[in-house]
Amino acid sequence: MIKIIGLLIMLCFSSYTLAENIIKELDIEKILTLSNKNEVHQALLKLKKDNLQFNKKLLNEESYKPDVYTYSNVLELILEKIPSNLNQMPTCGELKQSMVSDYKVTWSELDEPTHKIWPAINIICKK
Amino acid sequence: MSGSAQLREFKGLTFTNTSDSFNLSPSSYMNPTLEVNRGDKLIFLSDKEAKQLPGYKDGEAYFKVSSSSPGNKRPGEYFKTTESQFESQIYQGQYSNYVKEKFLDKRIPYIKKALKRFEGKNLEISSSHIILNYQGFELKIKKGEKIQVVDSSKFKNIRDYDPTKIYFQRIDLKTGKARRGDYYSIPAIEFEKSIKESAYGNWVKNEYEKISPINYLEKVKSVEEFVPIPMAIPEKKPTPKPVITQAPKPVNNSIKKPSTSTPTNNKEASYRSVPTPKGSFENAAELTKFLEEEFNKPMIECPDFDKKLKANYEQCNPDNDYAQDNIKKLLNPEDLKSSAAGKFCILAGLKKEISFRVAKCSGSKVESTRSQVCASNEYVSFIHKELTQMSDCFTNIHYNEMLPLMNAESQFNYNAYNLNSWGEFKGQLNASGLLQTTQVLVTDANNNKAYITDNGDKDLFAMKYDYKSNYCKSIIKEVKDSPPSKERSACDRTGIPDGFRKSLYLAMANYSFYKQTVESELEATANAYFPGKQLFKPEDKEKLLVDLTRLMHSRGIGVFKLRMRSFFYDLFHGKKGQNNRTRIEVGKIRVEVKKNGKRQYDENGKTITEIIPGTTSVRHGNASIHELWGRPGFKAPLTHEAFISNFSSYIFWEGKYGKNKRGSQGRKFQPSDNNRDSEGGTYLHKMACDQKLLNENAKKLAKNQNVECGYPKISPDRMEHTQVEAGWYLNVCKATNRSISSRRTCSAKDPYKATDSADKRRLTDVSIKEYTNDERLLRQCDHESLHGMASRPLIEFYAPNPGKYQ
Repeated sequence: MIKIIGLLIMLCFSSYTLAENIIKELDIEKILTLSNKNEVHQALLKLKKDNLQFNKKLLNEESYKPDVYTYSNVLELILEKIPSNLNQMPTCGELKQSMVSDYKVTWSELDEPTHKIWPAINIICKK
Repeated sequence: MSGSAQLREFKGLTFTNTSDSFNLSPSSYMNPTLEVNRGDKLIFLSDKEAKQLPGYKDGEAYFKVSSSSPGNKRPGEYFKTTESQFESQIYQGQYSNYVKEKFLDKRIPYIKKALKRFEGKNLEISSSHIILNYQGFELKIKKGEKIQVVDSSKFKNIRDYDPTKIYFQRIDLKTGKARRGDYYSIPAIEFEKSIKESAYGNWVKNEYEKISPINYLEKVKSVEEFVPIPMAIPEKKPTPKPVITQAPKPVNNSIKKPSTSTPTNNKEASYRSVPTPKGSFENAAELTKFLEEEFNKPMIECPDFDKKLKANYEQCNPDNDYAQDNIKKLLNPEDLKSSAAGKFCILAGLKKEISFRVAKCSGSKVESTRSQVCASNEYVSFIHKELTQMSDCFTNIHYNEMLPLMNAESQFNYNAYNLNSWGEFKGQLNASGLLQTTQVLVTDANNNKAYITDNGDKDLFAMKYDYKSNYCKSIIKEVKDSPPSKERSACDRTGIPDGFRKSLYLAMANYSFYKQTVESELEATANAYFPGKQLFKPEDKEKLLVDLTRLMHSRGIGVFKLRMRSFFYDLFHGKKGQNNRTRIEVGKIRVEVKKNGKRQYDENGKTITEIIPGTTSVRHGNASIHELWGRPGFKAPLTHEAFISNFSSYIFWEGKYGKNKRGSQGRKFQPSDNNRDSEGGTYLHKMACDQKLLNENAKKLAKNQNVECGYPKISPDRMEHTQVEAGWYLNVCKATNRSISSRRTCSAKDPYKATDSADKRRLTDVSIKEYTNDERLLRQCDHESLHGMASRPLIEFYAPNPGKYQ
């Protein structure tokens, strides 16, 4: 309840506004519904490609969306770690530590969409 | 121009072989072959010397060889070569990149000028085929096909543009027109060779020879100054054996015996800092200009470097001689005799007291101590040798750029280490070795790529390294076959030679990768915002790369990339929007449905949930920064100084990275705020102090003002500002304020603009002189004393009351 009220207060009364630009191009939700390793891998590679296009588009737009831009950059740095060959995928622990060392912070301190996309990566990384 | 006249230009000069080895072939079956190894020197005989050799011919050049390998010395033997053979060796990069660049620099403009004659004309292939480069692949163009030479400058904006190449379009045989969009290339030297071999028919050959009287070696007269410092060779092609025939021994015994020691002026050159001209300049002319400006200093005599070094080496004692035995096994007499200036830098770093702990190991058992390794001739020579060889493994790294970073990280203590002091890895090894890095494993390596793991993570870090040298090959094999243990241990990581070498390789490979990443980021930024134009001053590019790589090393690759991209985004997009703090809807989240604070359940007793939009906050940047762009000193092409100063300030203001600390969100802060990234914002300023201190100490040891430790050299202006900053902080801000907050507020004001009640500048010229001459201030340069320097460049965009700091 507290969670929902908090969310409502945040949405209605705070200085935050929902970004006009919902990132439709980057459909992470859909990837999270997949469970087959190969499908997840292919979807992540597609997301990697789409995100690069999206990033480029942002730079060409006559707009200032620093949050969206950063979100896309964080995503790019995560997806750079996904090799095109699934067999070369590192172990989950190694990957997690690598992401942490890129920013020299703890796992929980990493920016989104790190935590959001992690369940998908967790399916394909070596256990 | 005859071949002899061109070769004469080299007479009296020395070329150092930078390849692994090549053979000097015999002139007859009676003469043995001599293998010339990396580091061996080919010394051109003067006319007078050469003419005394029996069978002397004017069209050939004569060498004597000074070999670094004791078993390979051939005193009294001479070798000869012809113009084309020698040219081929230069082109293959067997002497040094500098010689090659100089050679191409003189040669290519002539070729390009001559080829203007053929621009727009179709050249038909009359040999069986020619090979051109197409999108990174070698493509055979067969006899009967046609190509058209195009103006190479049209291709300047393509990503892989190479000024040493000639560009073509291919003629479509059906339409007879050039294929749009496609372009092919070939190194200019190869194209010229193919013309001379009549690959496009005799008419082209004859026309070309009419136009191209070449004296490309005419002005290559200062090679000797640079040659003794071998540079890595970027080309990965296997090196064909060049042919240099052995000349008969001289008849006249009065000719001096070939010297096996390094000539005096070679020794001179060996102490001069060399920048990193590997692959980072737009063209050879740019490189040459840069080198000339940077190092065009009068040579001085320093015959006593060896004596000065010996006088300063430490005598070991039982407490600090723990590495001596292992090191002695790895050195040969030449290593100990070498009196390169870099040794003074290493010695100067070692002589400064350490503030960290070092690992003294007995097997795998570590004793944590402050007893530094003995700064003996053996240890200094060992570090110098390993660092030189390891730098040569990477085509984008030079020894001199590593000195300041290693000094800042470990003061050249191979066994420096620290443990994690907090978090889940508390008590475990955090960083170790000369660069204090943490990466541990390489899991795969092939011809030109290695996959390095970071903190035990497999990561796709592809490095550019020169795999041709035996040293590099063996270290890569060693790391691949026997990677460091995942169980981090200071002794495993630093033990000489294995642990030390593997760690150094990994640290340098990581640095090499970082440098490549910085270069790609700069290129991508320039392409995004300034396509086809210079966003950064070309001659400052290498300095920028080195400094930004150091920042990446300090802040982490992720933080660096985000901050850098964000900086340019603010700069060029800031005027298109506001500093809104937004939450981004990135998908849906499932939440429990509650009524009157109570969970709701379905008929099966399961909690009822619903899906609502999920939002996330990723807040960065400051739109106001866009006002900075276009001001005097901050417009394209950006200089190294302007960019470093403002970007350091951006890192400072955007704050520490981590949860709830993600960027400024366009908010205002006091410069005294604890969450600003003081360490990142002052990193390069602090390193400037460390570098100057290292320089001063090395100069004192060498008693020679021309000794320079490290690249890039700090500009006198920036150095003065940095020292004044530290002096002002300690003598004014710290002396007159009790709290950290008020000291920081004080230091955020520009000391050069501070005035007294009579409106007179408080900072006198005398104080400036005192501060810049006070070596103690260099020692006291720290994050706190440089806090103001990091905050000031962008203070007007971040501080709530910027006028207060004017």
